[in-house]
Amino acid sequence: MGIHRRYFYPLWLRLWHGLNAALFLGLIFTGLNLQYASASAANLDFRTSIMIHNVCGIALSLNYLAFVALNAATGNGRQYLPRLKSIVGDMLLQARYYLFGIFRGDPHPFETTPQRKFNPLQQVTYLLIMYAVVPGAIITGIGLLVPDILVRQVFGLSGLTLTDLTHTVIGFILSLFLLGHLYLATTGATPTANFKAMLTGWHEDAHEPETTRGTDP
Amino acid sequence: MIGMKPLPQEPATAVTAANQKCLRCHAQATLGYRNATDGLYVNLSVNPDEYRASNHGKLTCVKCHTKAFQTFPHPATLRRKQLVCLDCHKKDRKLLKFQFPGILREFQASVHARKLGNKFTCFSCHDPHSFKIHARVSRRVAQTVLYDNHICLQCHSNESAILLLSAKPQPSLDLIHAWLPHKELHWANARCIDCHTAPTNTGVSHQILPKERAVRDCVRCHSSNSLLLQSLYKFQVRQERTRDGFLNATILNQSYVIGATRNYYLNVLSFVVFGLTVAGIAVHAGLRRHFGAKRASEDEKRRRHGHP
Ligand code: HEC
Ligand code: HEC
Ligand code: HEC
Ligand code: HEC
Ligand code: HEC
Ligand code: HEC
Ligand code: HEC
Repeated sequence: MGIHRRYFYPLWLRLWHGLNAALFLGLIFTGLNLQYASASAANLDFRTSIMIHNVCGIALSLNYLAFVALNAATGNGRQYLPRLKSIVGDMLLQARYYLFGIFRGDPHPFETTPQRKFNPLQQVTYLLIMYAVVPGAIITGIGLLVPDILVRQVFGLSGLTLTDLTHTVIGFILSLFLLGHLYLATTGATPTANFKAMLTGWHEDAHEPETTRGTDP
Repeated sequence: MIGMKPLPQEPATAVTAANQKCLRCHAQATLGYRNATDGLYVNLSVNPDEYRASNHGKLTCVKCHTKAFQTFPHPATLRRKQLVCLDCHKKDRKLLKFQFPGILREFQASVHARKLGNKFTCFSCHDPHSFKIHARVSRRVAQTVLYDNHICLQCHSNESAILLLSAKPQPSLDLIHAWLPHKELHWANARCIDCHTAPTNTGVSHQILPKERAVRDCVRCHSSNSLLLQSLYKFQVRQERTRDGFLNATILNQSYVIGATRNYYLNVLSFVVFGLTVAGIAVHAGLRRHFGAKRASEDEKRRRHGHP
């Protein structure tokens, strides 16, 4: 039984991820501060919150563009594409692991390799988050930054209301994602292994001999 | 109680016919003259459509202007009577809800009345021929905002109208409010008076405060106890409460004020979903710990008994 180390995350990816994480936290903090603004002193000043939120939002959008471009250029984008043929079965297998196997100490059903860093659930979640939800946040965010470009009325609701509401709901979904993401990151070889990997680029997993696989007493 | 006698009214057709006599001339958009002494243009035209739609559309012109105007050329000695709304509105029970006496007191305490004295009257803001209440009756907040702000802008975006009353030139509105982001959006969704009046019990506060006391703090509006609920949305909120006991629907339908717009159900839902997520994670983590510890002790036992 030995610890197996492999280089998983290239520098650009780690830089992108770190920046994205920091901006994410900034946006969630100031976003909550705006949504639950009050006159109490515990709150960050409303105008400061707006300013920080705007700056973080713009930076995150630019960072996102870089992410899309580098994903295309390096082929890293392929990591997000699940195997369509067996996608449902694969996801169920992974879900079953999180619901049962993980408690029994079963091995991860899908071994991670530099060619296949994400399990099927991760692939589908990340695909949705990075290519649907985050773009949604960016587009509605731009709408709120320059409200003049918004459609005024949609089905009797003001365009701004609709955009605001969508933006808020998306922000909420992303906050939930962050919670789940942080928690599942603790399910590596050791609770901190994945965090270290995201900092150093080196992925560690407890590499067990083939024979003991799946033959728990 | 005060105010037993309703104001006398004439039948609508008779009013129209009588007013037609005046409007024959006064409907002409170009009717007016340049005052010989100060060189200012005096507009004498009255828009008949606006007049009919106004709150006083059912009054004959001579109710406010003396009957002597019925002759033309108008007698040279005719001087316009200085009318005040309360001349007619002190006692009408139907109009008690408007609290005219309260409004008069607020008006008298306002910066305009204090600084400009009797040069400034109710009619300075309420065009006698087109005035129409909005906030109380309109379901469209944007329209109320447009109408109410236009009242102030008649002077505050019109240098000559200001100079007519005060020698002090006013700085441009954009400049004064440069600290407010998204100005166009704010002008279209919040009223001048929401920031510039003291909160009072009348339907529309008329106590315009000195500029030092105007609202500058964003959170006064952008928070759950937004002052807009006591001003701009006052009537909407009341209607909503009586209609279905739920406060936020109307506001949500027309406007989204960050910090203030809280849909009750969405809010509860978001707390529940968030709570369940956290709880789910906590349970999962607990189980992992529990079974992890159990496995570790079993491993330990097995090792002690000599198994690999
Ligand atoms: C034949 C056209 C004509 C008719 C009809 C007419 N007016 Fe006039 N009115 C004028 C003109 C022209 C002036 C401006 C010269 C003046 O003051 O006489 C004027 C001026 C006025 C003024 C302004 C006086 C001021 O302060 O300078 C009032 C108020 C007024 N009219 C009311 C009425 C009313 C009320 C009626 C109907 C009962 C009426 N007019 C009918 C032509 C008319
Ligand atoms: C509710 C009372 C009221 C009614 C009804 C009314 N007026 Fe007037 N009118 C006034 C007052 C007050 C002024 C003075 C406005 C001011 O001080 O700027 C005025 C001013 C005028 C002027 C002179 C405009 C000026 O700026 O000097 C004319 C002309 C006039 N009215 C015509 C009419 C005509 C025509 C009608 C009927 C269609 C009519 N008014 C109905 C209250 C009224
Ligand atoms: C010459 C008398 C007179 C003057 C001056 C006058 N009003 Fe009126 N006002 C009336 C009469 C009469 C009615 C009733 C009209 C009706 O019931 O249709 C009325 C109705 C109203 C209404 C009720 C509208 C409704 O549909 O509920 C309001 C609000 C109002 N006036 C405001 C004002 C204001 C504000 C002023 C001063 C800027 C003013 N009035 C000046 C005579 C006057
Ligand atoms: C500085 C401008 C200004 C002056 C001066 C002014 N008002 Fe108003 N008043 C407004 C505005 C703005 C509204 C809101 C109109 C609306 O949306 O219904 C209003 C509304 C009203 C209403 C309707 C309130 C309600 O509860 O629906 C009444 C009645 C009224 N004014 C009476 C008066 C009287 C009486 C005076 C003089 C003592 C006066 N106003 C002077 C600006 C003014
Ligand atoms: C008939 C013209 C007129 C109208 C309508 C008018 N104002 Fe004014 N306002 C003035 C003038 C003139 C001054 C300058 C007074 C001075 O300082 O001499 C002034 C001053 C002010 C000031 C500055 C007070 C200060 O502390 O120096 C504020 C605030 C203000 N107005 C708000 C409003 C609002 C809000 C409305 C609409 C509800 C309004 N005004 C409608 C003419 C008007
Ligand atoms: C978000 C709140 C807000 C709104 C909305 C608002 N104001 Fe102001 N306004 C202020 C504040 C705060 C000041 C004081 C600025 C200062 O002294 O630097 C001010 C200053 C003023 C002054 C004083 C100018 C001077 O220095 O003499 C006038 C006049 C004025 N506003 C008119 C208006 C008018 C007209 C509108 C509507 C079109 C309006 N305001 C809307 C907050 C507001
Ligand atoms: C008089 C109340 C009021 C005050 C004071 C006020 N706001 Fe607003 N604000 C509003 C309203 C109303 C809207 C428009 C909501 C809508 O369009 O549906 C708005 C919209 C906004 C928006 C755009 C919101 C969006 O939904 O995209 C921003 C940003 C904003 N305000 C920032 C500020 C800042 C910063 C301040 C303090 C300097 C401030 N506001 C003070 C009432 C106010």
